[in-house]
Amino acid sequence: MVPLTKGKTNLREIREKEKIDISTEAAVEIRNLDVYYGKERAIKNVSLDILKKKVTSLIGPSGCGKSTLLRSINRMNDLVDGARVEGTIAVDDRDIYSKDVQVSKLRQKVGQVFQKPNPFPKSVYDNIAFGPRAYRHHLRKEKGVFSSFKGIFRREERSPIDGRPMDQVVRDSLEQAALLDEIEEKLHESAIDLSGGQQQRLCIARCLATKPEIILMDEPTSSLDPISAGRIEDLIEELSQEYTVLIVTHNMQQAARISDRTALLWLGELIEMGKTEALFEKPEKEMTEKYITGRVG
Amino acid sequence: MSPVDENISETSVVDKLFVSVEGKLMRRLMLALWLVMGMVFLAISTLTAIWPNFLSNVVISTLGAFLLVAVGLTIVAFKLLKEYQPPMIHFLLSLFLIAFSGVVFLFFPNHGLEIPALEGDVTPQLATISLFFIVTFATVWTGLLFYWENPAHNRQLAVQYFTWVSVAIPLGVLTFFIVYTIMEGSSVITWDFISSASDLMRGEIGIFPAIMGTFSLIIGATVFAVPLGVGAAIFLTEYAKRGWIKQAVGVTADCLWSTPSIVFGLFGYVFLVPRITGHSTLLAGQIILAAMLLPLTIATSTEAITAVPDEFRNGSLALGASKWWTIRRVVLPSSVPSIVTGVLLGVGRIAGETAPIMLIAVASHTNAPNFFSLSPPYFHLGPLFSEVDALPYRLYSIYKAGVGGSIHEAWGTAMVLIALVLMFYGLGISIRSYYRRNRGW
Ligand SMILES: Nc1ncnc2c1ncn2[C@@H]1O[C@H](COP(=O)(O)OP(=O)(O)O)[C@@H](O)[C@H]1O
Ligand SMILES: [Mg+2]
Repeated sequence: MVPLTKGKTNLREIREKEKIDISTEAAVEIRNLDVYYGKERAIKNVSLDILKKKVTSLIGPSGCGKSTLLRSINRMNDLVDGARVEGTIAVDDRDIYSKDVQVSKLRQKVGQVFQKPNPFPKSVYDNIAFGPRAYRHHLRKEKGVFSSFKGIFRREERSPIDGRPMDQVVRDSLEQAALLDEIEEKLHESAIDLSGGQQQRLCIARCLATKPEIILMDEPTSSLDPISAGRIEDLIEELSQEYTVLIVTHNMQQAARISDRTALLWLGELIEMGKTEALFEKPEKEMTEKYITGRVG
Repeated sequence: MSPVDENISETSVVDKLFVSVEGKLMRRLMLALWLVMGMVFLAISTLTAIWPNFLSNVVISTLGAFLLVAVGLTIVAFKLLKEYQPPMIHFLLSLFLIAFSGVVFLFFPNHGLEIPALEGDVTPQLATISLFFIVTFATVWTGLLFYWENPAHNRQLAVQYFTWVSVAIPLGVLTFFIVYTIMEGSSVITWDFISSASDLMRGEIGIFPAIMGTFSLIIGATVFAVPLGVGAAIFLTEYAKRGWIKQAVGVTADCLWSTPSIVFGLFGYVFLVPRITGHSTLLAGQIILAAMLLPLTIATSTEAITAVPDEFRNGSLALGASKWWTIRRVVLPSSVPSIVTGVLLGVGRIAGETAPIMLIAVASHTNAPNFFSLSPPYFHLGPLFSEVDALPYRLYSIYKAGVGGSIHEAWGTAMVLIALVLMFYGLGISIRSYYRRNRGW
């Protein structure tokens, strides 16, 4: 593993200068990560790489810190009172906890899908356009209120992230999330009226509209029926062609089915990480074997 | 052992007490009390019949006796039957009690509108008071009796009974208010009455200025109070991390809400009026009513914003939205219906306030505030700095000083005011139920 330098923005430059071998494979590099909730240490000295355009699953018993680890990658832990992060996480060679990182840009690049589908009580269209519109709000703040004035007179709304028309962004995102065929007619109806599985795919589409590189999913199928869950699993496999996916699951069959690599967490510590088949077939650690055969946990 | 006995053996200490020997004694005492009271009332009514001055209204006492006998008989009948009684009976019984107290009230010796000193003929007052006590007593004891007769079985019945009573009382009072107002007031309601001002020379009465005045007052109050209140609520729920700030503002809002409205008027009179024009103005009224509306706005908005699930906030923030964008685009739109409902209910209340505006904003026989004109500058702020008329004040001045119409016009005005207030409530409630159905969480 490549050592990281904490607090410096561009790790790549530093590594090039120091002639350290640059890993181009990793989308996220985590080094010596500790996360505290007040006095409680929820993540204990975890180091791992999440490879680009692969599906990585995080497994482990409840309360072992899977969600915590996931949330520290898009800094959603910042919102938890008393949460504190030590160690380094690099996304695109940038230390995301350094001072000059804009959290909103980080979250646009690292999307998250939640356990319970949480579409906004708005139309399907507005749900998907939400991310790009929020991004435009940031641009406006950076470049001044008048920067978007010429946009007012333009007939069609465009996504500020990639400049494409918003209509197209919405349709493409839905298409990618395998939802377009089902709800093409209902783009302007309330997202709340969709079924649970459709809502979850809508949330994935909403996340895709911001053009993320990494998608974090926290037990995305645990509140769905088996058929909807299956469709989400298929979707995840599709997405891994283009995106880096990190999925938390406590369903080991699911991890085995969809992921390329698997990491086992235990009481906040990383027990083992490796190729999924290897981890499930011949685990290196006794603990892993015990867990996957169901003797503990 | 019968199932009922089993139940009793599991009941609480209180239950045991009342099904025990002492309990039986209590119930007998109760029945005895009923009988004695019934007889006393019978005696009173007989005496009244013989000697009219004994109690000025025969009807009451007769009805009172009937009531007591009826209730007593019902209870005895229930006691004898010892069967399951359908809850409808309880409802009818409570309705009967309430309707009866209403009837009694209407037939009661009417002293006109002068408040009689408590000297001379004291009996009617005493009778009124004792009657209300007796009716309340009867209602409560009937419920308790259902319970004591068989706690395990009739607990449900007792609860249902009290529920029905507590539904029936406010409903009855409200219906009575509305029906009576319509009965008294509808005769004067004409298009002219609503759409024109009074013409004292020709003796025509119209409440148009008062309607427009009331509207101007509440619109102004809303414009001042809502942004402040919602802003405060956003700050409290989304930004203020420290609990004590929230608590301090919460307590302050509660205190403001329970401050008597005349005190608001007084402060307006002392601090606001001299700094605006020195005389009563619409603006002063709007500001003071806004101050009254503010605490409710803060409270309902805080509640509405807190009710928005964190999942929405997290969803938005995880897409890279800033906190302010999240509030504006997710939190506020989801809580607007509840906020609107709360504000409308508050507006319904301040629309009927007389005390605070009496000192600082209103005068009889002013013209309707006119902000617009057909010639430049089209829009005037002048009316803000002059007096207005208002519906509750019009009502007050007719009743208290006989100014601005007869008693019929007063009822007509009351009818318009009630319609206005109910309209706000109705609007609030329908908005709430519409969005409840549609919001999906
Ligand atoms: N918001 C929070 N505040 C305090 N402690 C938390 C919070 N979230 C999680 N924890 C604690 O951190 C540990 C890991 O939790 P979590 O990451 O949710 O586990 P998992 O997702 O694997 O079930 C648990 O012991 C939990 O009690
Ligand atoms: Mg979790």
